[in-house]
Amino acid sequence: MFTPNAIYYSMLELNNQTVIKAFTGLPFLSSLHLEYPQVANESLVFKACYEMLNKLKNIDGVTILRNANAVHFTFDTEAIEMEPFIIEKHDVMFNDKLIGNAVIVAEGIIYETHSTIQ
Amino acid sequence: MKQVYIFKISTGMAAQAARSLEVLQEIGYPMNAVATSQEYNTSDDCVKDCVNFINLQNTQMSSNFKTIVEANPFLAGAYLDMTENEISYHKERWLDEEIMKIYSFAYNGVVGVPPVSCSVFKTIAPDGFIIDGNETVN
Repeated sequence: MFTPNAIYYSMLELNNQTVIKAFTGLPFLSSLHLEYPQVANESLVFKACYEMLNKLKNIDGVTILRNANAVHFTFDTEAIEMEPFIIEKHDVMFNDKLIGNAVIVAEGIIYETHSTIQ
Repeated sequence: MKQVYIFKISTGMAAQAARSLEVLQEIGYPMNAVATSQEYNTSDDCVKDCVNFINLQNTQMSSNFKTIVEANPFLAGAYLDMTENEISYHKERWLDEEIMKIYSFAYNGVVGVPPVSCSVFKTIAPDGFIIDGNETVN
């Protein structure tokens, strides 16, 4: 039996003053890095990430592209502890130019083998 | 090459504090936020925007929050009057290019909690450096 034991968090990077101003209301920022709290519930971190992407999508000129190459979980038969890795990535475009991204990260994925099999 | 000034905003020293900032509430309760300002030609303009930002945060929190401005003691010469312990403490706190710290500070019993802080830096921008799309530094 393998037990997933993971924490998740999301990060947003933006590097365009116009979009950051529309997003935060602050007119003087050229870059922004946000890290959202670590949670054990995968669905909560997806919800938080999609909420901020939806706020961004409402800004004129902004489009979001889901990166199809993001790494997904792979299961292993041995107990492992993995480095943080991206399970979903979205590119933030402004007037067709890449200005940042949002990622959902998983960390500390441990699959423990329980020796109960007779 | 051109001398410019920027300030960096950071939160995350206390998650509760980050949640108390209205501007951050609107964008979804991040645990940590780091933002870099635009480039300023003069330190006065840079500090002015930075102080205004911290003052704005203070007005959105309780009246216990005050704006604190600290100058780098190693640039100002204040370190000459410090003990060795004070000097080693401040060496941990200050980067060479950091000229000022501006932050909110609240007295909570005997412990102060800085929920949001800014550091002002003097830096170099190369000529023609692209800032944002078709804008350039002349």
